[in-house]
Amino acid sequence: MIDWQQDDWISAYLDDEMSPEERELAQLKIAGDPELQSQVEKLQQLGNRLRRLPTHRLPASFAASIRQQIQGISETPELDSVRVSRATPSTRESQQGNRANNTRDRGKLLALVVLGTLAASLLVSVALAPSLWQSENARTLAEATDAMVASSEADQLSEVEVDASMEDSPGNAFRVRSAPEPEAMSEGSSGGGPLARSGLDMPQGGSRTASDDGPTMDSMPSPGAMAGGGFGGQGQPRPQSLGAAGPPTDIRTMRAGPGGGLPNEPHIASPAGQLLFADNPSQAEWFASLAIDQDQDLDRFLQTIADSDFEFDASLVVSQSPFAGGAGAGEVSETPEAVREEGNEKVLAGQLLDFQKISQAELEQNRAILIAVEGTPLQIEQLVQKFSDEPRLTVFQQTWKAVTSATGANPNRGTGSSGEFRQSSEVDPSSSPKPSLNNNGEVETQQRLENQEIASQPKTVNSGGKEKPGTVRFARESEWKIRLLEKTRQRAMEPSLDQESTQGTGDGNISGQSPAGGEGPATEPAVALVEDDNVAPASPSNSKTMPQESVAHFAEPRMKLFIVIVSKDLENK
Amino acid sequence: MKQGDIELVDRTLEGDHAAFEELVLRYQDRLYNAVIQTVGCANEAHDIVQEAFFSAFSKLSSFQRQASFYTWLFRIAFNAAISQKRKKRPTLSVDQYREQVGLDPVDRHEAPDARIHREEKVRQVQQALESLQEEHRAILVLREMEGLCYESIAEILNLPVGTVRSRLHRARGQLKETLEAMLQDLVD
Repeated sequence: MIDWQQDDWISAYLDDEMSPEERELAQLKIAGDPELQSQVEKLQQLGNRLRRLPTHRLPASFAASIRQQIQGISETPELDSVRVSRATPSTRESQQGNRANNTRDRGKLLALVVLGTLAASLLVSVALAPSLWQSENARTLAEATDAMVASSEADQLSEVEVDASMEDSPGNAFRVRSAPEPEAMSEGSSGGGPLARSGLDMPQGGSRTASDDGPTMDSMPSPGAMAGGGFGGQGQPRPQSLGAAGPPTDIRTMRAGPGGGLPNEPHIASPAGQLLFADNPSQAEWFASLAIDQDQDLDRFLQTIADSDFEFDASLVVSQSPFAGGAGAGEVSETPEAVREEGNEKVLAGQLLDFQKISQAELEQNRAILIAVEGTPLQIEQLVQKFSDEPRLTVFQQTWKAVTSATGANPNRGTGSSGEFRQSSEVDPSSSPKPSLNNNGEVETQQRLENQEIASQPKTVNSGGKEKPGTVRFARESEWKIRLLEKTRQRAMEPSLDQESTQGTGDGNISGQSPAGGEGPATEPAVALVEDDNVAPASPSNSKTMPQESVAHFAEPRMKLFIVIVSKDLENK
Repeated sequence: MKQGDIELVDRTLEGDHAAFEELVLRYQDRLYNAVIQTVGCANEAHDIVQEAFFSAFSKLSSFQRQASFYTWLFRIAFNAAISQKRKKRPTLSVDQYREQVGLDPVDRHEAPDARIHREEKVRQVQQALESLQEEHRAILVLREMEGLCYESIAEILNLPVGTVRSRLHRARGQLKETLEAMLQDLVD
């Protein structure tokens, strides 16, 4: 029955959304009312004008590009064959006939591809930041981050010099991981598994090997199943970060070898979401132990991450690099695909980080995505800036500052031991800052100064003032619990500085390095975990010592960034 | 012989990516055109459409086949468009996009002043459309440009049919008023 009081019947009449009887009645009414006739006519004209608006077309290649990206799922080298088969609808359909699961898995798989792209982009941004340093953009970045990392103009200049030497280096590779030492590989391949090689103890429950295959999507308990246990509560494995194993080794080598050594599960899904780059089984296990469900709020989830003693290492990023194959073992280098030349500058050919590629649906499906990134303060700042520019997603970020050795070494130059960050090509030692003693008898170097500057930063990361209102910044900026291979450090120390280091400098730094960084008499390891915001002295009295074999060491100031992206529904809880 | 959407969906579910490409090819322009009119930004529309197709692929097995594939796809796209609203990024307006890409059909026999007049009318309508609330814009696009029935619109927008009818009428009324005001401004 037509309600003549509501004039929306006119639209229904125009749209032919009336029954024949109603239409007949409407026609009679319109015919008897000139004003209604005019109104109907105007609305018809309006519709005509709308329909005459110019049309828009997508390029003909659009469909093909969609298909390519979909096909990319099954061609992504990082994904194992099992996972690829899951990505194929027919396989899943025929194998299980479970459409719901199929949808879920395919969604996750798509997310993996999309996020894999993100990972690659992210890696590019980290790996190529030194190269970009010389570009105009990098200079802009440098200016923006002056307050964060530089205490003086001289510091900045020194950084530039370092990177300039990288630019000039043949190959210009940014070595992230050195090749595994033979003993580490053999150790890892026999029962100790990847945990041994990664230098991390297994959480309770025994060792895992490649054949264990890590937690898989299917094997993950459902959110409901996890609801009782919860995260951050009882029963959650808290991986102990230090073990009696060798230094981290090259992920790709391990992947390529028989038995892999690492679970073929580059991305770990859990009830809480996804952990990207989860090559480390204990990391994966830890993340898989988390859960978010209706009874558990976001704060607790984040707090769990923040409170965790867990240490994500940079291999998380490196191992997923699509560019890894282009360089030698342990290297991530610029590739033509990633970088192109413009005049005298190298610029990234692709986008660095594009969170827009993470669809809301995928995000909601995963609830939370955790990304761990490691880099120099400048690189991290660049990433933070990028994240802060993405208003669609709420990004919780937590930086962990590196308390690193003020060795006087070139920040980009390692000492040649396995498991450290270093540049593949040697740089001019003359560009290295020289250690010196300050008025308090402490060792001063450029890196030390930088560390002090970093430590004096507010608890939240400076993101260039672009933090959007309402965004929760989760930035418990505690010290990054770097583990220094004290033995190597002390080998490298000059006698006069050696004494300083054992007395402690008040900031956890140990200074001095021999030019060669070579062999020397071994001493007891001293510096281990530094957990307070105030940097702890590197003295045995307030540092947890650890077996020398279990530590990784880094020769430059580095920061670690945890990024937790959460879905809106979780955010609103 | 042209295959139906359902058949292509089935083939996709069997692992035939070419079938999905065919679906994309079949609807990409239509979807893009509708989305671009709805969000008023070419860049956003492109992203939304791309995202919609990815989502459609990942959710394909949940497609119930009670509605048409296009309706289902459109619903995904509109959900994505709503999510996209949260984003603030440099946008390229439809007008700017047209200027850059030159998508407007050009009638070579048209007199210059006639073309200017026509373009002005188009610009007015687009401006008026963009001035509407998003919910009104969306429903107008779905009805007037896509020619969808109330039932389909209701399904896409997740609204009762009665609400579609009343909202559509309000949207038309607003658009008419806006255009009349613009014309009045020109006269004044």
